[in-house]
Amino acid sequence: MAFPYSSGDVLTAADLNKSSGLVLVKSQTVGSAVSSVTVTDAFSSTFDAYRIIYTGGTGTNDVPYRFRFDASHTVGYFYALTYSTYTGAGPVAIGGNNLGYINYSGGGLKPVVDMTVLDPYSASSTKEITTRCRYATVYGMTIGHVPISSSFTDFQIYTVSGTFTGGTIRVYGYNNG
Amino acid sequence: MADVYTRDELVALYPDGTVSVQVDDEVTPMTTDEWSAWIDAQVGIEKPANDELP
Repeated sequence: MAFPYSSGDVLTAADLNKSSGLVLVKSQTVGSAVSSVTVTDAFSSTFDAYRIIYTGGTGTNDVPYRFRFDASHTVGYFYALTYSTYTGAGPVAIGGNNLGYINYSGGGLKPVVDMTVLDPYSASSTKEITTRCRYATVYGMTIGHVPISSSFTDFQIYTVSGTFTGGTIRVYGYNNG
Repeated sequence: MADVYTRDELVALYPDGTVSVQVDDEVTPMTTDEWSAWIDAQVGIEKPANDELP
């Protein structure tokens, strides 16, 4: 059945599967005074692209947050943050060269992560990451590149310093169609 | 010169047993060794201002 649908159309499962845009894959409530949260079974062959959003929590420190697929890869993450301040200073660039994480993946006293992750489950594909980062006076965007030939199902978000409490990490998959 | 965390300050802020790691719904306090390494990793980090923006 071709989109857009018309009144009286009988929709099949295939039609509905194609019509869903972002599909909620996982919703994880964050506990109290944690330094990191690992979300398992977030990525699969069902979707190639994902959106990860964390809101509603509180942090002890107004600092950036980091992202990684797992702790076993201590290298293989490349990123660049470009930011300005709310007073208009900048832009400024900060790079990360072959580290074990994507720094500046979010942040703040009321921490927010708003990230797109491409191809995390495909062992043969380079993983690409785009995310906003706001903390203190920093307002920026981070582009990440993870040329690790592994298939990942999990990810971890953690703060550079201090702890965070509460809120929800939601993972959405972009419908492959 | 930026004001940075010392180990003693971090231990006072985050005593052993008060910091956890979470895997899905399971929230587990760090072991003493994990906590000590976590504290060490933050020594020398610049203290955040923690000021709410206007």
